Formats: sequence, structure tokens, C-alpha cells
Amino acid sequence: MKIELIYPFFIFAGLVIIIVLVYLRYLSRKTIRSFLELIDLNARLDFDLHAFLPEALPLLKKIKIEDFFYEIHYLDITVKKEQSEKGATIEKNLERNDYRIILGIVPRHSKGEQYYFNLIILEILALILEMDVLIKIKVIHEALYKFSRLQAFVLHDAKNLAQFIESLSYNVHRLENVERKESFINYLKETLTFQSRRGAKIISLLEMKQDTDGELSLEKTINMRLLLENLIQQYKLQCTIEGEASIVAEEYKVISIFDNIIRNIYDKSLMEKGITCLIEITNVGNLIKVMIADTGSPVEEGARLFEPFYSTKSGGLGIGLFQSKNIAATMKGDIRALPWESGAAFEVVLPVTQHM
Amino acid sequence: MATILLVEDDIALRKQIRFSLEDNFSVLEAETQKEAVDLLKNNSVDIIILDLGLPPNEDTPEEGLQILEYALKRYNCKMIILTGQRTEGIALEAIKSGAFDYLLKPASMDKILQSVERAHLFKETEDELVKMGVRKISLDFEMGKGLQTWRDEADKNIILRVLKDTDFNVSQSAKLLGVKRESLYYFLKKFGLKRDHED
Repeated sequence: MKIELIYPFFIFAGLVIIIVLVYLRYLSRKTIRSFLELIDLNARLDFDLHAFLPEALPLLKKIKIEDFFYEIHYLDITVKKEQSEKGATIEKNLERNDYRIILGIVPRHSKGEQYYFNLIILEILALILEMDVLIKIKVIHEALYKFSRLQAFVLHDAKNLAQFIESLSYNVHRLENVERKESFINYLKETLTFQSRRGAKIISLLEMKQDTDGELSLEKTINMRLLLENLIQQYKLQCTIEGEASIVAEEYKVISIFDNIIRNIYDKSLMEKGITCLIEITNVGNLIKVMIADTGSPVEEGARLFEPFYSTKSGGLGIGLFQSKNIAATMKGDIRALPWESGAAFEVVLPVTQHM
Repeated sequence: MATILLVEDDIALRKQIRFSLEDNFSVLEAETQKEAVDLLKNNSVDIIILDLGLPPNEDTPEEGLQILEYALKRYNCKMIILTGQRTEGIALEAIKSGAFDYLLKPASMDKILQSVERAHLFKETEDELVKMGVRKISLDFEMGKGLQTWRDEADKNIILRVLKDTDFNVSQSAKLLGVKRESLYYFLKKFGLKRDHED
């Protein structure tokens, strides 16, 4: 037998292999493109499971999946879709502590290589759904956690305020003589600044992130030195204040900004003895700059200081500095942590007036 | 006049409560753990009204519970918790540590004053009994641990109470307890009882 006789066979076999390879390449590219489209769709829909599921079927149809069905349970929520197209199915069951996903696809056919493609499609789809469920669980848990911390922050003051009103109304009805009346008024006078500071703290927190432009403004000229001296006095801190400046702003906002910073020094002074602080007030054109530094422990993780709910204090809520920065931003100002040799230092920059 | 120590970080509220008490009691004020401890060391306090959430951790009960433990371990006073910290665990811990009452903010002033009056009455009666040679002790028993554990706990509490009354004078305590000094030393070692500054 001549060798030339088997050449056509080799050529034919070679052609078949090339055709098969080209077909497989086409199929893989098509499937991968569809996977990317599915992943992209999920990202565009903010990893929202409920938005993604109804949109996924047209993309699946492109890769020969006629239908898909699912039953997803997480956080007492159930998302379910029955199989609507008849045919053979491939199913996957994921069971974890916090969630359960039952997923099935109805492929157009499952013969040969398509069977393996179908398995990959099922795995990818299950991964996308699992990721969405995990994100959902994490987001909900985080939101609840943050909400409860915020609630604790407001509740502490709200409960004290309610108790104060209860005590006040009790005492008001028992002012039997002039001496008692005088003593009662003195106590109230003594605590007025504290009450105003607490009011400022609650209002600023509730107003956070809100644009108050156009609303009734309670702006007034504020002597910064006087305001800071008052705060320092209330916290009984050893502090040197240098410089002087005035700004026109809503007082409760300014009090809140500085109260949070000075309060941190006060908290530190309870744990670290002998802490002193230095405040420098300067006027730079249309801005005032207030530098507040202390001799306590240095700032750890400076970059995270203004992150909401981040706290280095055990049981700390991590709202104070975030709130200060937020209020400063609404006033077209800013706060930043400064590099400081010993202790912590902050610089607050605020415009002299809000109307420039 | 009985002395009340008011431990509360909210100055406005503290002044109002002070105002309602100062006609009938001598009132001391503290707003931090350190101030409370300093006042306890330098004054004879009969009743403590204690807020649990104090700076620097006013959103947790840690500071208050530390004062509670410190005061009840060393002084014969009645502790009234007045707090906004509403969890069963904290209340349980406070009562287990020996708190006289646990009031949640906002509590009516009548309720607070009634609690103070009751605490005062208990304190006075206990002081009278002490004069008559009777000591009242309270014990927390965990069931199922055997009688020996209970006996040891009772022994420890009685000895600790008498030692506190005599300012850790061992001879005087031994006399009051009706035991030999050597026996009392044995118990001190057994229960690991020390004077405050020896801790």
C-alpha cells in the first residue's frame, strides 16, 4: 500500500480537528462573553439579587439555557421561582449557616461537550447568587449594627434629658421658700452651658448630611476664644489658648465641632494623668484656623480617625470626629489630623462667614 | 444626716437630683469613676446613686460596674443604680454584685426618692443591728455545688464583713468572731483576703 493513499485521510482528520477546535473556541468565547455579561449585569444592578434574577434569563438564553429556577432563603427572606420550561434539569444545592440556595437550569440540550458547559454555567450562576446573598446579609447586618450604635448615642442623651425634665418638674413644684428658689435657679444657671452643648450635639447629629441652605439660619457672631474657653472650663482641662478670632455661623454647629475634639482630650485625660492642651486661633484672610493639640497618647491610624463608627476606645461609638468633619464640610470648612511630636493634634479651618 | 454620693456625668440632671435630696441628706457629687472613688475614700457614704454609663465609656456600663464592685467590696453602703443601660445582663450583674435597687431612666422622682428612703431605712437598721453585735451578710448560691462551697462562701463573707468593720485589725476581728488569731490568719490565707492597698 502506497503511503500517498492515506494522505487524504490525514487531511480529512486534520480538517475535522480544526473544525472541532474552532467550534469549541467559538462556544467557549460565546459562553465566557455571556458570563462576563452576567457578572457585569449583576454589578450594574448593585449586586441586588432581586433586581438581577429577572434580568438574567435573556442572557442565559444566549448560551442555550432555556430556563432557570431557584429557591433562596436568607435572613427570613425567601426568593423563589418555579421551573416554567419543560426539559431535563441540572441542579445545585448550597446550604450554609446563614442562607440556603437551590438553583437549577434547563439546558436546550446536554449532549457531548455542552453538558460540561452547562455545569460551568450552573456553577457561575450559583457563585453570582451566593455573592449577592452574602453582600445582602453583610450590608443588612452592618446597617443594623450601625443603627443600634447611633441609637445608643442618641438614647444616652435622650434618656438623661427625659430624666432631667422629670426631676425638673418634680422640683419646680417644691420651691417652698426664697432660699430654695434661689438655690434652684443657681443650679439651673450652672448647667445652662451644658444643656446648650447637649442640644447642639443632638441637633447636629440629627441634621448630619443635610443641606440646610435656604432654611431659617440662626447665625451670629461668635468669639472663638470665648467659646473654646467655655468648653475647656466645662471639661476642667489644663489648656493654654493663644490668639483670637470671630466668625459668623450657627453657634450649635461650631460648638459641636469643637466639643467632639475637646471631649476626646477629656476622655484621654481620665486614663492618662497630667494631660495638657494647647489651642492656637489664627485668622488667615477669609478663614480662621484653630489648632488643638494635646500631650496625651498619639493618634493611632490617623487615616481612619474620621471614618464613621471607627473608634480606638473600647465601647466607643466612633461618631464624634466623623460628625465634626461632616458639620465643618457643611460650613465649607474642614478638619484634619496634624502630625504632632507628642500627643494628638487637629486643625479646624472654617470660613469667617458663610456668605462669601 | 445620712450622706448620699451621687455619681452622674450629666451635670444638669445631677444638680436636679441633688436639689430634691439635699433637704434631707448631705449630698456629694462625682462625675467620673476617679472622683467617686476619691470621695468614697475620704467620706463616710451611706447611699450611692450610681449611673453606670460614665466617661470615658459612657455608652457601656463598665465604669459604673467597676465603682459598684469597688464600693460594695470595701464599704457598708447601699447602692441604687439609676441608669439608661437597659439590658437584663447588666441588671443581673449589678444585683448579683449587691446593688440595692436598679432603676431605669427616666424614672419618676417619687420612685427614686422612695428607693432612697428604703435604702436609708435598711442602712440605719443594719447599723443598729451592728451595734447590737448582729451582722447581716448576703450570699449568692449556685445550686448543686455541694454544702462545703456554701459554707466557705458564708465564712468568707462573715470574715470579710468583720475585717472591714475593724479596718482589718486581725486581733479585734478575731475577738469579734470568737476565734483565735491563728485561725483567722488561716482563713485570710485560705480565702486570699487582703487589705485594699495590698491588692
